[in-house]
Amino acid sequence: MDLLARTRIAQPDGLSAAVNAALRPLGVRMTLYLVDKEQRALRALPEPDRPAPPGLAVDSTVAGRAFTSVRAVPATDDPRGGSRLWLPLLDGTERLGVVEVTASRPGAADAADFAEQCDMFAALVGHLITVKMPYGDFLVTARRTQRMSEASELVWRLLPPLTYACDRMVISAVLEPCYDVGGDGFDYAVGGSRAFFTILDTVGHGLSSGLGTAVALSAMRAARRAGDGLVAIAEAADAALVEYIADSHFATAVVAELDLDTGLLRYLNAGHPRPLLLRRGKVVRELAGGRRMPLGLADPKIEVAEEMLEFGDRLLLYTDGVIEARDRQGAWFGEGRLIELFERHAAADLPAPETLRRLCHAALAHYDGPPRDDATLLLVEWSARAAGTVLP
Amino acid sequence: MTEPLSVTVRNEPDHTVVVAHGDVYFDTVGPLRDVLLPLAAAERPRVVLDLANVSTCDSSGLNLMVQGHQLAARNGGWLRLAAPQPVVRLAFEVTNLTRLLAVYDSLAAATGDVRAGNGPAGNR
Repeated sequence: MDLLARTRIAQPDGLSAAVNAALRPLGVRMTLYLVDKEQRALRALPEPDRPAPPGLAVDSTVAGRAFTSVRAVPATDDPRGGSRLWLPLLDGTERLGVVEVTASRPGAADAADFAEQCDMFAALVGHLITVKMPYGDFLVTARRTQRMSEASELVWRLLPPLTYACDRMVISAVLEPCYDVGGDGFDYAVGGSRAFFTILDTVGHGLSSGLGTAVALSAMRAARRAGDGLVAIAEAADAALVEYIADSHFATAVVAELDLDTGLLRYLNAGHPRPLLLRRGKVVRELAGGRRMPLGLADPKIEVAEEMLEFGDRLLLYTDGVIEARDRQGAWFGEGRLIELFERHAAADLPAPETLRRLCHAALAHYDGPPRDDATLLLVEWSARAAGTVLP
Repeated sequence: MTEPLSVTVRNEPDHTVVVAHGDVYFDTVGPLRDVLLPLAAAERPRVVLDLANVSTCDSSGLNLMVQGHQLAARNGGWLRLAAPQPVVRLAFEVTNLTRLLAVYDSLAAATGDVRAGNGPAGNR
């Protein structure tokens, strides 16, 4: 409660100090680390009068393990033992970074529920970071390792958080190159028993395709919130692209809704790579129905496809930049490699956001140099168990 | 890795053939756009784009073909796409653009009916 009172008028750059002022009477310190946009390193939030500790690689540090596994991890290198702890820093289930907890007073960490208490406090800190983020550039730029393009600034503002979980579903996405997005984007909305989701890829590069993505996403949102069905949602994007975006720029997309009660998936595929269906650990098929022309090109032949999912199924949607990564020899990353890695991460029972982080980095690593196209992945898991993997 | 695109134009008595050579990507498509769109903007254009020597084509390339098709149709003519390699044909199919664009297996198939004075047909 003390923290809430302290942060009501705190500036974004005053959050760390407010957190530690509230913790001081308890004999505990927290250093807040935010993950960079590319999800490769954890960067400490600078605090006044305290030199910022160096960044920590997600893939090779104890802190990184707390981030990727979404679990508390004791800092094993601490000679005092048990008094230092790494916790995932989450806003709900959205991974923001990690918290380094240090018991600054001997004995403070001895309480049986120390880790649990710290975790609840960190959950509040995660919410506060998200609340304070839009009011200044401090928290926004703390997650950046380089300048962001105009198109990226535009598109990121339009996207929902990367990960959402409810009792029966997890939905997660990743988008690269995060500082220089072309025309990729995604959206989702969960309410009652209906989960809507879409992934899209607008033609071209730079701000003009970012504008196309902004127009298509906004048109689909407006239609969805007005109660339109899938066909009308896609047609709203058609009309908006034709009217506002020059040079016949179109967008390929999958537009879908899942009934969380029955598992009935209804979807349209507007010229996009086919989603993959993973069942009991194996990719059993591509979803090949619902074909229409890309958004922005009205198609008189539109029919919504239906697929009955089984509880526990996972759907992977992706843009062509994922599989069309080409190495120095010109070999594609390819759908085969994507499927193989997807199955391997499913077998390891990785949390959805961690599965996507690894898939995306694998595709990016396949490019000979900087990526020539956006690579976006969106994963939907229809299961009760999935939510447990994204909670600490 | 990406092969630059070269474009040549051959004027036949009753149509124009545009021959593209290389990879059609967002950063190579310029020379093709500079040739194709003015042709499609003419009155009653009859343009065949020969894709036999195009090894790959990204969405910017597809977008140019859609633009060319729409422009030509608005001007009372057509743009036909001839002899795409399998990778490029796959791009037309994945995007379902075969519903819009007139794609022919060969240059001969794309121009076979021209002397008969026919308009655009469907996919061949």
